[in-house]
Amino acid sequence: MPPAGQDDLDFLKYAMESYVADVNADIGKTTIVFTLREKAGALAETLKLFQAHDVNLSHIESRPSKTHEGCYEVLVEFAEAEDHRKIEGVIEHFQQKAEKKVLVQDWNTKNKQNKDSVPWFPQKINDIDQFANRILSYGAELDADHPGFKDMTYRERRKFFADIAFNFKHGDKIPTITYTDEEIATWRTVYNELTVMYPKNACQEFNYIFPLLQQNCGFGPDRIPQLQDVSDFLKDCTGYTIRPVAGLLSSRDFLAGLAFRVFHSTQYIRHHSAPKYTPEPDICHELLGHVPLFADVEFAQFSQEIGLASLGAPDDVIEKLATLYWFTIEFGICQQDGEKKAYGAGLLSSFGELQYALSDKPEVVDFDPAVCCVTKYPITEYQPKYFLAESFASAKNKLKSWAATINRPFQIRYNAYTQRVEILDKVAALQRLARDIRSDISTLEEALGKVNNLKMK
Amino acid sequence: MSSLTNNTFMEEEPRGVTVIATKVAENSKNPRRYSLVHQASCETQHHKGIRRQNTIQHRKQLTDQMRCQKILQQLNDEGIEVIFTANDVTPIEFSIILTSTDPTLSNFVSDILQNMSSAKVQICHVETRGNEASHDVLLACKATKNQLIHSAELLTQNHVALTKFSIFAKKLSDEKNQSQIWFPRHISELDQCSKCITKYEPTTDPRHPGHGDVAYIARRKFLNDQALEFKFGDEIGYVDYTEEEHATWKAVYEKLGDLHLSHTCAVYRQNLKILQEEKVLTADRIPQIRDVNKFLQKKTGFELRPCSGLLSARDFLASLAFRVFQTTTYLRHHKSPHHSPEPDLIHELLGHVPMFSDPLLAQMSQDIGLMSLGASDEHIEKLSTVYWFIVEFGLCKEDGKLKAIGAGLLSAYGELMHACSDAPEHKDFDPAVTAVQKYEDDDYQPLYFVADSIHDALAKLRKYASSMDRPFSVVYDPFTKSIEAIESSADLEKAFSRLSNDLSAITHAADRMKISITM
Repeated sequence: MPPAGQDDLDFLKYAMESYVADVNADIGKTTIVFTLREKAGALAETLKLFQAHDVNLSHIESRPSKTHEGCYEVLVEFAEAEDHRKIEGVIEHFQQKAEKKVLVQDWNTKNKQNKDSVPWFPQKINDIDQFANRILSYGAELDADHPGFKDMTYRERRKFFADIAFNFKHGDKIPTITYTDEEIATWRTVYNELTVMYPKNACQEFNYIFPLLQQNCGFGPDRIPQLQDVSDFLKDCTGYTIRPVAGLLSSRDFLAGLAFRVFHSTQYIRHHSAPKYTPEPDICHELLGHVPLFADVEFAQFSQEIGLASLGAPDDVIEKLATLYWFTIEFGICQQDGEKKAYGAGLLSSFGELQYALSDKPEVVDFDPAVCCVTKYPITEYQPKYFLAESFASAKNKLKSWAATINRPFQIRYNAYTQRVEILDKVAALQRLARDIRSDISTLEEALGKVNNLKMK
Repeated sequence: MSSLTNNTFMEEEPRGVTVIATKVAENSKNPRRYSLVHQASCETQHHKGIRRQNTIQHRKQLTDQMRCQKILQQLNDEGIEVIFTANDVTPIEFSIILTSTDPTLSNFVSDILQNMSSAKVQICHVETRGNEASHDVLLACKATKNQLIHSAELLTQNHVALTKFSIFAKKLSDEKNQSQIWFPRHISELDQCSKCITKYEPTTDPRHPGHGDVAYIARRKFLNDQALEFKFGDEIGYVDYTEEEHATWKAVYEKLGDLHLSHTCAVYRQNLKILQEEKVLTADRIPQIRDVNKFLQKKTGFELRPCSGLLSARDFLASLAFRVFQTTTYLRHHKSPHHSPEPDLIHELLGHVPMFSDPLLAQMSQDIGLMSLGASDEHIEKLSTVYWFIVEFGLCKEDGKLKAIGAGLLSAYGELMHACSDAPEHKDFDPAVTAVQKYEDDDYQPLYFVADSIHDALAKLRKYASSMDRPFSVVYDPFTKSIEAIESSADLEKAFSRLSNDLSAITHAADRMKISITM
């Protein structure tokens, strides 16, 4: 076997992405899919890696890449009788190359041969670094009709916040912001107006947690809370963390963050000339609308379920999930003590719509994911229709049942210990999970036994 | 309704830092080795000593307050504590046993009842026994502190023949009222689990390889001080190891490599290989703990936390409950690279880290930690012994051969060979037997426990845990890294919710794969 080293990586200088199927003797075949730039000799150069490792291939196939314009995806299949250790050696180099771009995913070979490519999705929490800056709209660029468009100080401030988000990496501390008096005044206006409405209009879970935020994170009219303090609080409650973001993410990327209990939050504030309206999510929306309910255990699970359902899903499913997100996490209402209450963040951070949503004017229907996910909605005016949830647990169960109908070649499960998404596509993976569950059951069984003993005394 | 509750901080049990001298064994070839078992035993003795000191102090205080001291100076220890903890508002229930040489029992009982009545003590039960020489009277009483003291004084004054006066606390029928030993409920509370009860330093034992080496002693102090300042949420500092330290590391690293294939278990070899491939462990440089943590986080969620010395067994085990391993940052002395009398960074990195990369061993370590929370001193000793014999010095069977799974073996060349040879005795791992096995800390073990597999050891440990008596169970929430004590059915809600999520994932996956899974 030739010595492995830097030379091997040179064979992959044209490779952009790799999808490495598992090495599994039971399947009998191993496949690698990689993406090459369109350049004369690129494929030949890359295939030298296999020759260097003395590995025979049984099949080579290429096609234009669907995700990378002007590039080709190449599928190579190893000979059936090939030595698995050699194959592993080759795969290590692809993984090493791919690791630099952190664009690796695995799936079962048989499934690969029968299905379209599965879009890349993060499998560990660090992978979020890879898409966090794929912003649809840059936070510092404002439309001509934006309230702050002509305010150069405001635009400079927006760029300041955008740069913080660009430089953020998983594991970093979110920088402390010294907000200006003008920004604090804007916050105060919004805060004072909304907090008088919460007792009557917000759901019980929200009203339970909001005072805790006041005590633990310094929520109050005279101070804009720091994202790191809020993130630490959420971490202690449900394991959610906040990550600063420069602007609007794609639906796929935003939902993927939820799968890891990561919430992407802006740090800028709406323009002071229009405190009761913001064309895009600002920190008032994030902290007053979203944060309180991410501290609720059931709601946190519900949000994560939407995120998990998005991983590896085709585009049409992403659109449906984004719609579900819109009608629940952003504009959801629920029934409590015979009255309608708001739990959606878009309602809880908007005076006007909060009152409107709970009045008799809009249409209200029971939450059904299958119906909800194909409902059209406006984004520049109040909703004509709202979906009513019985409870967060009920909504979560409905969502899981609906998510099970998504056509995806694998099931996934989130491992909270390692903050990784595990793909359940082989018997071995299922057996590991079954063992974990069995140990959890025995713990609960023991606990139940002791609870019963206490009652008998 | 949200089940969110504010985290309640419970008062930490007071602990004094005491240096306990250890006797030097005459025939020992090596310095006495640190042992978690010895540590747990020292703690038990230390706690007894503290209680004894408290009782002596309380007795002195009460004696100063009371008259007719002769009999009361002989009052039993438990009686001192009963009086001391009583208050003047709420009556407490207790028992009294009185002994008298008065030949007339009726006279004795009559005096007792009269004086108790004068002091306003309620008597619920009277029982007598005795012989011609003396009489014993047992009373079940209810009284406040002042009433109790007053009755003792009156009885002592008025009944000259009284020879013994003992008080006993009433046994509590409701275990919920038992005072619980404090334990951390959130990972950040591990900041309070850094107390060192015993210390073993190069300065105290002439046989320590570093004894007399001023530079080495200063270096250890520097590293320990750095670790002492560490708090939850801090970034682990970068340590600039010296070339001499790197050389010590390299010597051990390369020598141990010779035995890996023949003496270590498959899990260790696999994980070590990955650590090497990812350049986390290399021969030439001592790894940084923060880099190791990034690797462990990906694998099992375990993390190393710097600590400044040898923790108490209770604190060490409590940390495991949070998948936190408290690790030293100093290295063994360069004069003796293949032996270390106490855990050093080499032991942690080459012994523990590859094994904590395995989900099963990580789970087993955490289970031992969870069992330790709120446990009695007796149980702490047993758990320490189980931990010692399986996580530190355990063996397992692979292809009919003995392989090491214990970190103490995996990082010690000589003992690794010894353990797998025919010289020592080998017994099957049984937690109930292992927990009471005496440990040898002056030389290699004469006895090692062998697990069929890590999986098998974990199952046996689970079964053993259910036999340990504790009024509540604890469940770990990995999302918030906190411990939930389960004392009522309402507490089970969150844990069941997590469980049902996992069950539905497995059900959907099985449906999709069109297979059946037996659990």
